[in-house]
Amino acid sequence: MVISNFIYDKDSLLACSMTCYSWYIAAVPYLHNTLTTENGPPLPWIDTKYLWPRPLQKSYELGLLPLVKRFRICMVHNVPGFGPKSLSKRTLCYFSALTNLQELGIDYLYVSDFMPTIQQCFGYFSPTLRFLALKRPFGSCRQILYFIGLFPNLQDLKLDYPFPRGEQESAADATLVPLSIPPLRGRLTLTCFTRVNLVKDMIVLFEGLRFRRMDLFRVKCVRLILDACRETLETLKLYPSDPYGESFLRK
Amino acid sequence: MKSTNPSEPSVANSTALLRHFNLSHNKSLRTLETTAEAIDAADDTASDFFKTVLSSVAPSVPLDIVVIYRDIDISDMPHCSWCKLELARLRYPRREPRDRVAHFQHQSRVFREMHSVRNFRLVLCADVFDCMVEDGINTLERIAKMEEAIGGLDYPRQKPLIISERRTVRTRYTDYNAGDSRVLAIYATAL
Repeated sequence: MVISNFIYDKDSLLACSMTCYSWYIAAVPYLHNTLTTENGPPLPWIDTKYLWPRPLQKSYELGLLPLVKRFRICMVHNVPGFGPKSLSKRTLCYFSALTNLQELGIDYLYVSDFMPTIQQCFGYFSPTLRFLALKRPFGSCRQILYFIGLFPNLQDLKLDYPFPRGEQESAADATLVPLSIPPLRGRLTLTCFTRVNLVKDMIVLFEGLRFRRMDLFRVKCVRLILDACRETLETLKLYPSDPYGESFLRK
Repeated sequence: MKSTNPSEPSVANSTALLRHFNLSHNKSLRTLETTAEAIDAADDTASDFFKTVLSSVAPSVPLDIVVIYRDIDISDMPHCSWCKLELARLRYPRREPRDRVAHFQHQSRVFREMHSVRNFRLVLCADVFDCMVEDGINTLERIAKMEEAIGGLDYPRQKPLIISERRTVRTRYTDYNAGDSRVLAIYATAL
């Protein structure tokens, strides 16, 4: 009861967790709710202790990973990106300890490089994941949808800047079918979105769209998405400046 | 293309916009959201945009228009007892202080013009960091009262609803609009 008043105040939470065991037990889930790591070359303003995979490693050693509900892998640049080389047997072991993960965010995920064994890397999150945020994912439409389909309980989806970047839809991709059809009944957030085929494939492979809330910023295929969710859409977030990305796409 | 009559969006613009944003088929739609920043960025075109979009929503449906005000729309410098000032500055590295009342008058004009098309409930939402919730609500209430006093908000039958959404680095870790959220997220994990 006392702790719930401080869930937004990290310093107070930290102080509470140090008073006694019962307060520690009450406070610790809030303190370790989110885990963020920086995957990329060291930058002057980022302490090296936050570089991938050190926060994951440290939390694993302290047995805190089951408390993590939000996990984000940030990157400032797309080089080297988050690909199979970023993972090792040890990091997969850390992933397997994230047993209650509900929200996952990955920047510059090279989905194409993980194929066809992507399930072995991210399948640990399948039972619990509800929210997926991908910033500039690399891969064909079918590959990205295959990745999304790894999470059968997914409700919210966020895609930022998923430019085509020359990925070709190969013949093998055409036969790629997601392992599940996630419910996706929560919020769809699209930013600077130009991949119309991704939406078209999503409608086909996921048997329509059922999002109740949408946040569409500079999206090329607004009409298609609105029509697909005509029965379910309750809340729509709009941006009157360049609403469907006309100016943005012209650049 | 600008409209010749400021109260009416141009036909060409409306037609183009409705190709994308015709909401007449979205029967479950109850809320439209936007941000104060987006209204300011769109400048004079904001009214036309919303009037066109609103005209496509079935008139019988009760509708909320939620305008989201971020920290920087409400205060030049977020402040609280437990935020470190350096980190607070990192949130908004590029924005200059501005006259919030003047900005609200522009927004108020947009709301009035929107209301000429369709009835709706205006909801002003202070979507701010935890440390600024109280300050954010007070500021919005103060601005709304000032605007009401000069007749700026004379259109609605009901007063604007003022709400807040408490934001923390934990709840909005993928928030790119709040300055360098990555640094804040790292700060959170440092505890």
